[in-house]
Amino acid sequence: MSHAAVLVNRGIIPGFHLSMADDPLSVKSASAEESGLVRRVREGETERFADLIDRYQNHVGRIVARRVPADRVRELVHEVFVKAYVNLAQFSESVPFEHWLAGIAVRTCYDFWRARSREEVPVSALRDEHTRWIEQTLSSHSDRQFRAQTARQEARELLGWALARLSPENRAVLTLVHLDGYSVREAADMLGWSLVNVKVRAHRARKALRELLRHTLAENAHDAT
Amino acid sequence: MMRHDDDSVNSLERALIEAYRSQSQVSHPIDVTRDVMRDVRRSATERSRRPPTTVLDQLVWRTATITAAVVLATVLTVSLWRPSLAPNPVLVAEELESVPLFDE
Repeated sequence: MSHAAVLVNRGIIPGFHLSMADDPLSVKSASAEESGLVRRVREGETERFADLIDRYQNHVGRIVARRVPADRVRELVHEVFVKAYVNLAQFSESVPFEHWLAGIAVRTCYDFWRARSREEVPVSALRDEHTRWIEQTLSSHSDRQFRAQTARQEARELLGWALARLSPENRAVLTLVHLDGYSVREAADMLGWSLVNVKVRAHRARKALRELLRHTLAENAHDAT
Repeated sequence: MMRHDDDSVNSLERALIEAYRSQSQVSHPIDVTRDVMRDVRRSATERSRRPPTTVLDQLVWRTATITAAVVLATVLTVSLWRPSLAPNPVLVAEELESVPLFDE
């Protein structure tokens, strides 16, 4: 995969691309400076871990903020770094530290939704403004108008509503593969699941999302008549 | 009708993906260093108080291996030196030969 394609996939270059290829994880290994810092912490210089937190907390914050409600972000970022410290012996230095941290962050968010699904927190219903947003988005006449619609709060709320109706497993895979644009192999590495499991789940999760959207559209059409 | 439905679903899906990606570009400044380091220091202190798990694991495995070896050696030695309780087949044969048959 070309560098440009990777950037499109990651959403760095705006574009619509759904990556389902099991491309190899094309990442560098940990830098010498990073490895040195990790080694010093492992050898007992606990205070050096603060340098790693300072360096990567915004990176982890971005990953977590995309996956959990805003009021839980700080708590989960904290949890990610504590887990990273406790499991520092498992960091192999074959991948950059930030990739290793990203895996912990993704799994921590997945655990959050699993715990939440056990608690059976009620999922809020769609409101009138969301229905209006759908109508306006579908009737957009230009690309500019369409993009303006996607920047609105209702869009994010509707996405949150749809994701909340998926199982934690489907949610995790859909977010990584279809929304973040990671390859199936990268998603499998981050979640610690098999390639086949992620591939099957990615397909099922997208199908479930599309069914949900189709059902919502049908209900809206029914209400309108 | 079905085609129209698919187009609408595609547009809606695309809109949600773009909404997600535009949200992803917003930075979320966060500062958890102090709180995390407090937990890290506590964890490090607790670790230094107890023997490292790997050392403890090695000790347990070594003790178990040595004990198993000693037990095995004892069983083998005893079985070699202890006279057998089962009747010796040679003696049984001699005994049978020495007993006169009924018609003799």
